Amino acid sequence: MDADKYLNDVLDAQTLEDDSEELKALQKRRTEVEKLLREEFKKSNPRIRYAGSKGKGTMIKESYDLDMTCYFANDDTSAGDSLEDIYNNVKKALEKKYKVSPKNTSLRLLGLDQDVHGQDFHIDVVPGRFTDAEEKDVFLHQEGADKERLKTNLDVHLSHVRDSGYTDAIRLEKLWGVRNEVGIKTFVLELLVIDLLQEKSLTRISSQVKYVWEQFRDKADTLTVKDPANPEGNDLGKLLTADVRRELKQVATDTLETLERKGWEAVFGKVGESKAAASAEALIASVTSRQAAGAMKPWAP
Amino acid sequence: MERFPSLHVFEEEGGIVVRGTFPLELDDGTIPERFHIRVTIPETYPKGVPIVCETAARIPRISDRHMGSDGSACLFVPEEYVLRNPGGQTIVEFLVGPVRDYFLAQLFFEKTGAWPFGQRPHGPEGRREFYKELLGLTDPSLARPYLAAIEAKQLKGHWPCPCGSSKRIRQCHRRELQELRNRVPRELAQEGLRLI
Repeated sequence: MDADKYLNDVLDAQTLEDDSEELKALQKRRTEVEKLLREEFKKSNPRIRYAGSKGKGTMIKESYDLDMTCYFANDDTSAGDSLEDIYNNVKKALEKKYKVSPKNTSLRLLGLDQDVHGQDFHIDVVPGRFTDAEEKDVFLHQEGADKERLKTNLDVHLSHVRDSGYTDAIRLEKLWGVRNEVGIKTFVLELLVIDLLQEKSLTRISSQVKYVWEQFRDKADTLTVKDPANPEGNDLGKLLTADVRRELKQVATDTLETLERKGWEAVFGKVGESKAAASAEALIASVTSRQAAGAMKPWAP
Repeated sequence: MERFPSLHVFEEEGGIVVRGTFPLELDDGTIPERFHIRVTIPETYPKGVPIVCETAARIPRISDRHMGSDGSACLFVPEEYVLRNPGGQTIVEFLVGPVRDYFLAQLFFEKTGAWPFGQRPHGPEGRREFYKELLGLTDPSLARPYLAAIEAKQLKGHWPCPCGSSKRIRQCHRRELQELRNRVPRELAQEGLRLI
């Protein structure tokens, strides 16, 4: 097997085209969220735009979250006086239509209605306030953190990743992280991948991906990461907790062993696996064989 | 794990946990979906039942989908699993067996609206249904007296038969009850009495 060709095929299979059903559904919901926020904050004109992987070019089909900013002007207090007020008021507004799961700086939207209760909609809303009239840097509230706020810059983040030259490696590492439930924040993983690959001049995608795993396996305890938008001000090292380092090390070790024993397809699976690809006949046949074997009935206590 | 490269074993404060994504492989080898799961291995394993959670909120967390609000997956009535697997199962057997069946059923339900292996009513009614099937009863309300007869240290012939006939056991279902006592572990009967 040509490893690079296989990995490029994996990347192609993970690409979400703009006219894909998944993105259309996401964009439809984004439109709903934007409409809700603009209605709730009529007096303001919050900056609502794509952040995250959509803006960085690192989206993967397997985990296609949409990050949306909701940034208020530096002199706008209609959404709240403090950053915490803004965070809570945006949360309250979203709760009119969604179940909201608060995260460190963002608000995750889940289904509220009975038939979709608790279902993840893959949208994070990031409330914030610009630091000044230039509207480049922004303050975000940190929920439950020692430091109440952090200062960052969306455009710096987007360009740091988008223009790194390593978006393919990042996408594969993201897929690996998602598939193996590695508990590392995506943007920290992105920064780590860029930092690690910038130390080496590896051109082949298979070499890049494998090198990153080797570093996770061998140097998990000493990895460091800086926020390119605020390297001295934002301590991202706190996000590389002992548990995260342990997981990176263990999962990378397991993956390298799998790669050694069974090859790339054992790590990333066959190209083109999807719900659509699986035939109704195959599903029925699988169910029939399990019916014959006496599969147990599910039950809710 | 060799059989499941995207599942990993971790030692955590509460014990051993298996985490990652579970590939739902159909009989023809295709994988229509991967489910994010966490399997907590109880201290009493292999006799104790592993607890499975679906961690990505992919399946609505409602009892009609046999999901707990905390993401716990309600694969089966636990006593049914214990009865079928008295010595427990290896983790791989558990994954390719009940876990696979559960997610296969979920996917089938989403496509057709039907539960392919049937489903049990929620709560104690579902448990009673299981015991009704296990004990060969037509009336689920008889599950408790039957379980009491199985749970007893000794079966006395002069006791009233649990079938409700008002005859004594020795004149009624003695043989059937003895067979049940041979087949159903006493601990299971105790658990059933506690829970239904």
